[in-house]
Amino acid sequence: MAVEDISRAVLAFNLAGVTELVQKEIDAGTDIDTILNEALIGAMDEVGKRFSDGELYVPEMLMAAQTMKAGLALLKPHLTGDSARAKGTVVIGTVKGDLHDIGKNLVAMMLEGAGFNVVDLGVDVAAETFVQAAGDNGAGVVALSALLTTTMPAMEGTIKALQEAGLTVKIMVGGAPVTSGFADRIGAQGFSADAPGAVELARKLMAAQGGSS
Amino acid sequence: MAPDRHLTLLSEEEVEQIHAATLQVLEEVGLWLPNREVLEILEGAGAEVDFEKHVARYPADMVTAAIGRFPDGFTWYARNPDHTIRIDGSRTHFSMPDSALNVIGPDGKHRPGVPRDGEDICRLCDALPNMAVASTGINPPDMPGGLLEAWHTRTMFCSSSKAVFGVSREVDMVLEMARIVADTCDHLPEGVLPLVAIMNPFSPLYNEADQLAGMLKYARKGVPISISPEVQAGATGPATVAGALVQQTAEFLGHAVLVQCVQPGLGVIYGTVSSVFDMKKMILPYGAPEADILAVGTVQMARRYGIPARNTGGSSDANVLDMQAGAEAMMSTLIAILAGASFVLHGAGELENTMAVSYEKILLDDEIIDMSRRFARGLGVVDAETLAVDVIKQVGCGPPGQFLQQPHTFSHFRSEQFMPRLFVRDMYSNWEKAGRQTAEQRAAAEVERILATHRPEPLPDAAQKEIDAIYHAAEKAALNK
Ligand code: B1M
Repeated sequence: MAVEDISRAVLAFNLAGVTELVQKEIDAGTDIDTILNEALIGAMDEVGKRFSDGELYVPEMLMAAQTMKAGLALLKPHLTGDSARAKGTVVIGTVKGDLHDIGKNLVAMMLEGAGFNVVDLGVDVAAETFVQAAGDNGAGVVALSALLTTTMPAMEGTIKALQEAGLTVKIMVGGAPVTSGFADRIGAQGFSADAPGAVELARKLMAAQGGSS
Repeated sequence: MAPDRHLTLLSEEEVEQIHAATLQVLEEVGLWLPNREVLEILEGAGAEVDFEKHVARYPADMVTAAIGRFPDGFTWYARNPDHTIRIDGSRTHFSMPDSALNVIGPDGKHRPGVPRDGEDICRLCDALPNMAVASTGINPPDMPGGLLEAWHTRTMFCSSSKAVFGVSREVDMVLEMARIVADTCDHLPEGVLPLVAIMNPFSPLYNEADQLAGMLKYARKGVPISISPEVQAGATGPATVAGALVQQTAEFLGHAVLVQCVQPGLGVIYGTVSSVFDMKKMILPYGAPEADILAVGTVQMARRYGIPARNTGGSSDANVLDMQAGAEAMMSTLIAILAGASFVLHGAGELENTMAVSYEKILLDDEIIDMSRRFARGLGVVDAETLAVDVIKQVGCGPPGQFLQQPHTFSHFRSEQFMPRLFVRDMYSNWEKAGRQTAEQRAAAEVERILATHRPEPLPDAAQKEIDAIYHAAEKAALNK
C-alpha cells in the first residue's frame, strides 16, 4: 500500500521519494489525516523506537525527521481544524545567562520530529521573552534548558514570571546539572534527563493541557 | 623527552594541510565576535569586519604576522617561587577538574560538592608532587555567579601556593586578588601577575561579548592566555576528526591573533577540550580515543606555530572509579606527556563526563602521571655506563651469575625504576595478610593522611585580609541580588 511506501521512504531517509509519494497520495485524494498519522507520524514513531533500541543514531534520526518534514510541508495547506493544530506548541530556550545550546537544539529538533510546533527562542533568553512568546504563540508547554549551576536559578525566575503573567502553560526543564528534585522545588511540571525523554514528557504535559496529542 | 621524540600522528605535510585549511576558514568564514571593541581592534589590524553581523574575517597575511609575534613560551609565576613553572613544551604540567558539580569523597559517597570540598581538593593539589596548577575541582552548586569566581580565586591563592589560573568571568576581581598576592612576592618581575587566564571559545567559530571583554582585560595586564576551543565533532563542528581540528585551529588562531593585536608578544597556549559528539548518548566524551587524536593534533599544530599546548588528561566518562576510569585516565595522561603538551586541565580526579571529581582518583591519577613520565623518559642516557657491557662481562654467562650485589645495580636501580606508591605489587598471600588493600583503598587512606596533616604555606596576614574583604564583598553582593 502506498501509505506504507511513504513510511518506508522516511525510514530510508529518502527525501525525494517521500515528497514524490506524498504528492501522489494527495493528488489521488487519499485522506490527509491518514497520510499524516499513518505514513509520516507513524514512521517517526518507528524511528523513535529504533533510536531507543540503539539501532539508529542521532544524525540518522534527524535525517528521518527532515524527510518527514518535507512530506508534512506538502500536507500543510490541506490540513484543517484539529490536524492543523498538530500536537500543540512548545516554546523552548536556554535561560538568561546560559549559552550552551546543543542540548536545547536537540530537544527542539526531536520535538519537531515528533510533530510539535516548536518556537525556539535561542540562548540567553530573558524571563519576559519567554512570557511574551508563550502568550503570543498560545504555547501549551514551555521548555527551559540550563547547563550551569549559576543559571539554574533563572529557571525558577522564569517559572515565577510565567505564573505571574497568568499563563496556564506547563513547564518542563532539563540540562546536565538539573535534577528532578530541583524541578519539583522550583515548581516545574516536568524534568527530563535527555532529548527522547523530553519528547515523551511534552506529549504527557500537552495531553494534560488538553492538546490534541 | 627530546623534542624530536614527541608522539605525532600527523605527517609534516598533513600539518601544512590543516594549516592551509585553517587559513581558508579564517579568511572566508571568519569568527562571530559580538563585541564592538574587539571588532574595531581586528579591523585596525587588517581584518575584514561586518559590524552589523559581528563577523571578522582574517586575511592570511594578518594571521601569519600574528603567528610571528607568538613567544615560544613563558613563565607561569606562583606565589611560592619553587612552584613557578615554565610553559614552553619542556614539561607537561598537570592540574585537576575546575568546575565539577559532584564529589566522591574519601567515604566513597557521591554527593553535590560544598565549598569545603573545594578547599580540601586544593590542599590535595598543593601536597601532590605532580600537580603543578591549583584548582578547586568544583563549582559548589548553590553558589551564584560573582561569588563563585571570587571563591575560586580566593581558594586557589589561599589553599595552595602553586600556580593559579584566571577564570573567564569577573576579571577585574581576579586581577585585583592577583595584584594583592603579587605585592607579597619578591620574585615576580615588575608588573607581572602570578596568573594565566583560561578562555573557551564557542563552536562553531564564535564567542560571547563578556568573555571577549575579559580577554581584553587580561591581555592588557600582560596575563598570558590559554585559549581552548571545545568542538563537539559532528554537532558543533565537522564529524571528521581532521575537519574538527581545522575548525578548532581557526577558533584558536582567531582569538590568538586578537590577543597579539592588543599585546604583541603576549604568551598564548593553544588548548583543546574537543572530542567527538556521542551520537547515541548525546554527550561530549572526554575518554574517547578521538579526543586523544585531537589532543596530539593540537600539540602538533601548536608546535607548527612555535607555542605551547594544553590538553585534557585523566578525565573519564565512567560514573564510578572502575577499570574504564583507569583506562581512560591512563590513555589521555600518557598521550599528553608523549605528545608534549605543556599544561593539562580537566584533569586528575575527573569522572562522570566532567561532572564529578573523586578524591581517590586525584591520587591515583597522580600515580598514573608518574608511570607515564617514567615511560616517556625511555632509555634515558645511552652510553657505556647504561649499556652496562662491563657489568654484563663481570657477571658472565650462566649460573650462579646475578646482579643484585653489583655496585652497578646499587647505583642505578632507584633512578631507573618507577616505584609505585599506591598500585599494588605483592604476592597474593602477602597482600591478603596485609589486609587486602586495593589501590583505591590505599588512595583513600592517603587522602585522609594528607588532609589531616598538610597545611599550605599561608599568605601573609595583611594580604589574606585584603583577599577575604573582596570575597566578603562578593558574598554581600550575592545576598542582595
Ligand atoms: C526543557 O526540557 C529539556 C529537557 C531535556 C534537556 C533540556 C531541556 N536541555 C537539555 N536537555 C537534555 O537533553 C539533551 C540531549 O539528551 C541533554 O543536553 P546537554 O546540553 O546536557 O547535552 C548536550 C547534548 C551535550 N553537552 C553539551 O553540549 C555540554 C558539554 C560540556 C562539556 C560543555 C560545553 C560543550 C561548553 N561549555 Co560548558 N560545558 C559543560 C558540559 C559538560 C557536561 N558534562 O555536560 C559544562 C556544562 N560547562 C561548564 C562551564 C563551567 C562553562 N561552560 C562554558 C562554555 C562552554 C563552551 C562554549 C566551551 C561549550 C558550549 C558550546 C555550545 N555551543 O553549546 C562557560 C559558560 C558559558 C555560558 N555563559 O553559558 C563555562 C562557565 C566555562 C568557562 N570557563 O567559561 C560546566 C558547568 C559546571 C557547573 N557546576 O555549573 C560543565 C558541566 C563542564 C565542567 N564540568 O566544567 C540533556 O541535558
